[in-house]
Amino acid sequence: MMRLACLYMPDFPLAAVLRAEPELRGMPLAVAAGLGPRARLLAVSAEAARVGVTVALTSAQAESIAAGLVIRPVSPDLLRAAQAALCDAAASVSPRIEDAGGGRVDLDLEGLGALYESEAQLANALARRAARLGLEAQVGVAGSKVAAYLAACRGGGVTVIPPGEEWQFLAPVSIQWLEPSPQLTVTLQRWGIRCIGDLAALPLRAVGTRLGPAGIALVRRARGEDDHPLVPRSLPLHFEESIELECAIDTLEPLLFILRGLLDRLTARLALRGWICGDLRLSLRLATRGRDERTIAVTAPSNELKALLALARLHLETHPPAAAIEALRVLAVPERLRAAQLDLFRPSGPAPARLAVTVARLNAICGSERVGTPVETDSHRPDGHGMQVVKFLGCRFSSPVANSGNGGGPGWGYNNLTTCPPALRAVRPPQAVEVFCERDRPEFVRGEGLAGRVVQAAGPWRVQGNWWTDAGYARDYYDAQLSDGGVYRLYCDLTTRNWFVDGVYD
Amino acid sequence: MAKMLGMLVSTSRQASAVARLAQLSLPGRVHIGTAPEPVRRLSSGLTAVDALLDGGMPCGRISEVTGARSSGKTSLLLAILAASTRRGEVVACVDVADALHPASVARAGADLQRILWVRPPTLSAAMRCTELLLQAGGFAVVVLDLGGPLPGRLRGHFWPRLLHAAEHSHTALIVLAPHRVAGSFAALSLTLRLHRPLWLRGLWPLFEGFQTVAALVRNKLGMPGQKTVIRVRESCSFPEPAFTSTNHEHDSRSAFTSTIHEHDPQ
Repeated sequence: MMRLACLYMPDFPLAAVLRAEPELRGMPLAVAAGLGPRARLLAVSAEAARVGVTVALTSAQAESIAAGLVIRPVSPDLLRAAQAALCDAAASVSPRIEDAGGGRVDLDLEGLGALYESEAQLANALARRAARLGLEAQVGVAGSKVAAYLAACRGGGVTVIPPGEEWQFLAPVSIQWLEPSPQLTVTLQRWGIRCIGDLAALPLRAVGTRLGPAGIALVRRARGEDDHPLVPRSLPLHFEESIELECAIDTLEPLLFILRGLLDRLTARLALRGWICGDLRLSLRLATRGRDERTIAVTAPSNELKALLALARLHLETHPPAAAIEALRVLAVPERLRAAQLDLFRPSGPAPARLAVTVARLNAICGSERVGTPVETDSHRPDGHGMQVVKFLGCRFSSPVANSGNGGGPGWGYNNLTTCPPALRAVRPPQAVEVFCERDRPEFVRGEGLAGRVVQAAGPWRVQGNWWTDAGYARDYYDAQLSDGGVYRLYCDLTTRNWFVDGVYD
Repeated sequence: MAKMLGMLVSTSRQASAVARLAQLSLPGRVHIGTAPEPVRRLSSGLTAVDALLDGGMPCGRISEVTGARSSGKTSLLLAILAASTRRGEVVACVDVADALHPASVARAGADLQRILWVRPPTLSAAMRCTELLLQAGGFAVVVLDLGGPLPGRLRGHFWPRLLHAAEHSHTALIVLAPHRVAGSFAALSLTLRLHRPLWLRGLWPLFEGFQTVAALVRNKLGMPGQKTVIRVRESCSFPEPAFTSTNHEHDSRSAFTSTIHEHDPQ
């Protein structure tokens, strides 16, 4: 027997606003369709209803009734983020979910019996997970989507309808919960049908003759039959939060305060889905009608709010926006959380969160292109080198350099060496020098900070490459020991016949 | 009151112990206090250098490696970094001169993924970066490479801050410079001097490396003044089992790695 659950958020626009601004809980709050005094109210809090504010009033009317009323406009971004959060809560319990929209998500509970002792426990877990994301959702469990939805709407909190008892639960419920069209409502009232039990008892063919397909669909819903089965869809890995500001912000501290709330909600969603925050993408709408798009690289992905906020602060301090900010959107690139077993014999290395902040500070001092891990470029070009963004998590848990195969600890066989290879100190950019040759052999070298007779030289080694592009090179390389005691790597550019020093053996 | 009495008793006991020891008239001086904590050492991977430094570079201290051009200081530094990364440690290199050559680092046997390479634009930025890395903790070695011409005047007030940060994080701070720069803040100072370049002679000569003399000119943790010879060669030789090494090989290696007071090249 199929069992389904419905995660339902009553007064969805109000819940979306309260999720973004939890400090408004307990205050008389109304959510309007837009800005301005003529905007209609979409939802009101219990505190606002207590002082006489009702839905469908305009903002001006509501303010005249209750002086301390807080009115917030609802934005599509806010609703979208709240719905995504609701889906995240559902997806953390069941992989088969259907996003019904409007603050409702349906879940298939098949196969979850092994994880939860009872359906009530499962429903409670679902409600708790939604609460972790700032959504006080209601949960209904039943044998069909309609029954589960009505249980979630009517019950308040968590309602579980045992298998086969849907009829007893639904029969006394008013037909208004099935949301019939106004014409159908009038007709059914004229017939004296008030509750779902009366409607479900009507013969289907007779209802079809009199009310048409809409009537048949309504009777089927009253009998607990779904219009269409649950269609599970995989949830996209899209973690985005945004906010529209009432007035533009042009200083850093208020901006960081708002960013903190957005990041808090984002990391809660990521943590619930088992992901961690990788890079952050910030989209700022400026007062000059322009947009400021930026990516904040997170060196060590984590869900630690303090570290992420520190990175954002450093980035914004280093690259301040060109104008005041009217709206803010943050998108987190999810990365898989990797469980790691630390080694007893290997040092743990820098803490990821601390490393991320340190690298961000280094980036702020030196520039992001000057901080990273060295990489060897895949090229025959001798002066080729590269630098890549620091990603220490990958290396931190990777195996050490392969040892000689004789067993022992990490790096066994590489210690206690008697010699080490000579290292080259690169000269960047290559330093132009004057070279006097005799029979095509360098005899004397003169340049800034170096001058001397060539005591010993090796070469030339001709290196050519990329001749099919504009970045082609053709050089003759020499290793030359000068009378000043240094051993240099020289090359002659064959296209310009100029000489350069590009390294010193040291 | 009881605490003060206890301290007085303890002091009087110490004084009597000193007097009794002095009566024995044994050579040396008697010091009262706790024994200093042994300094952890990071092996350089090179037998001769480890022997010279009593096991390697000291953690939580500033060590200087100085020398002129082609003295082998960078080769020694890369050997230290390679040994450290092979142990699974993470190291950082603040490269003021922008002289780090990734291919050389890889050839030394280092794991490039465990090296954080920072190329600061100015000298003050380099000192600030070094301090940040030391404060972050978790790095086994932080290298401050001042090997090339310095892009500014080196301010002395950074050294006590760097030393404090290194002590706090137990990180070995190695300063690479043409000459001594850290003054009395350096726990040890190793000066390298080129003895002779090694060339494979013949019709087509090849540069093989160099033989360099390492002198411990300053050592706050032991005896200064010792010297050794380091051979920097293109082919990296591993310790071989005794039955594969000939007498000639054994002799040559021992001659190059023995201490100077036995075979002084000068």
